[in-house]
Amino acid sequence: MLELVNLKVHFKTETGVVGAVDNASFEVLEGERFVLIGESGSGKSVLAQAILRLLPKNAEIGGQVIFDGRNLLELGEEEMRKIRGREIAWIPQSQTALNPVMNVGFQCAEPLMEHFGMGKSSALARIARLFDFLGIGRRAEEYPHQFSGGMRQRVLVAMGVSADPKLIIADEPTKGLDAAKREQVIDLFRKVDRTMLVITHDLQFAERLADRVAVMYCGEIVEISPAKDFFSEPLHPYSRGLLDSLPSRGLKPIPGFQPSLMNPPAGCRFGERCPHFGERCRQKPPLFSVNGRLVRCWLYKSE
Amino acid sequence: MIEGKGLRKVFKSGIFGGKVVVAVDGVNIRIYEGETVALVGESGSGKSTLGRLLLYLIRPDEGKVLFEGVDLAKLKRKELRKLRTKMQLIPQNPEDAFDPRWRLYSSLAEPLRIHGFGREEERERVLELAKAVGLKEEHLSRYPHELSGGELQRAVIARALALSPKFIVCDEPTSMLDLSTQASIVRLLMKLQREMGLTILFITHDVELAEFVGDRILAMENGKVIES
Repeated sequence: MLELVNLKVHFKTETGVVGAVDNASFEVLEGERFVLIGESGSGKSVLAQAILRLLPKNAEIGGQVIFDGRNLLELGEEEMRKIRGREIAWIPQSQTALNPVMNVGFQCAEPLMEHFGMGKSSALARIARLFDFLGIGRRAEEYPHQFSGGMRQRVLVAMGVSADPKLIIADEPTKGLDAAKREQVIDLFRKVDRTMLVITHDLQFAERLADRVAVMYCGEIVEISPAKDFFSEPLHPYSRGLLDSLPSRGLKPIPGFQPSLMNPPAGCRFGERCPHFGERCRQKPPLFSVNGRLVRCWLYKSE
Repeated sequence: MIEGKGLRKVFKSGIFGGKVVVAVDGVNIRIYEGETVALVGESGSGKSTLGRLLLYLIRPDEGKVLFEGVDLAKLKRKELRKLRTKMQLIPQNPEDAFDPRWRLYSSLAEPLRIHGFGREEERERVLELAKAVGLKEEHLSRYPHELSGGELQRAVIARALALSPKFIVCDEPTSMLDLSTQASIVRLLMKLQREMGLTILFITHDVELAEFVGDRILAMENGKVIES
């Protein structure tokens, strides 16, 4: 359904070029929930925004984003507008995403009026049913400040699915929510039942939601695995380090810090923090295929 | 070490104080010297308010706080100020814990300056603190925006330790941090706790983290401690 081929994103800044995403390739299959895991500064949000071309002008995007047979990077702005919200929905982080001076019902109805030319009253009627389905209740007339963090997240989901998109991209949907609210988001996403690309650093959330996961580190995809395999046996040393940082798995920190995206190491980018670092890691590892999983690490080179 | 008796705190909001929220509702809590107590609860359960009540940063509407047997309400302003060096807060968001226009060194030295350290002594202590939390000397000449979330949280911890406190309230100290950073900060706190014999109230909404960190766990719901 959605395929990234060597997607590259660079930002030109006053102090130099930041390579936020480097040759990312993966495919999100119809009907699956694909979760992209990464820590802050790994480039995961930039990758998601590049798909919908939501990035600022100083971003240079290379490679291909194939959606239903079309390369989105080659479409004109007019065509792109027809895709955003209608075919691919974007669910942003919840804190600041809603317009504070517009009631939430109208905000959610807007895509329906925009993309289908529906009248205001029929659009609002449909939103009312959607609110019922998602457990928001009869609160369409209320304003964002009257909603709690968890409820605001629901409104954003409602807005995202209102135009019945084929694919939903959600950026950190559990940020700032506690454990109970995280469960609600999981239930909600399952209920919506759509092809999803979810960006998160919340491993417990990813474990509960994902069919497949990809891990991003310092601008590169380092592992792609079925979720079940990933959480029982992570392959990449960084993936292992991440899982071992969980309190339930020993709370063992990864030594050191993520290198700067402005000047990443030439070989393996995780090398300087890796317990398996060796001479060959000075060369950049490709993605190796291991039992249908992909991992960017020399440990998995077959002899 | 520290004890709260029948603590109650009500917040009023709206014009004429029409909306009333009972944030903490009749809580008795006692924390012994050298232990780490984990306080878990969902957002809005009153756990942060309880932490601030114990530090006497906000005054209770009912009940009292005893620190080493002394009722804080009975202290004069000056005495209370002196006692404050013994109790510190590590807040949730390290990003806005520092003055953005000050270099880190000045922020760490401020509590020392206020409490009468000399220039030489001050410099020595700041370097010692930085070392204890794993910051390098070069970090000290930077501004907050030049540091990562994990480095900032280390600096927050260094400042909280500056005056050798006995009791520290950590209010969700890692919820804004990345997972691998969270592990290193929590490890650091546990190490310092052992080495300095600190007493810690660790507030979090992550039950697994609470189980890992706490000698004891208290759970809060709707302003009440429901489980201990």
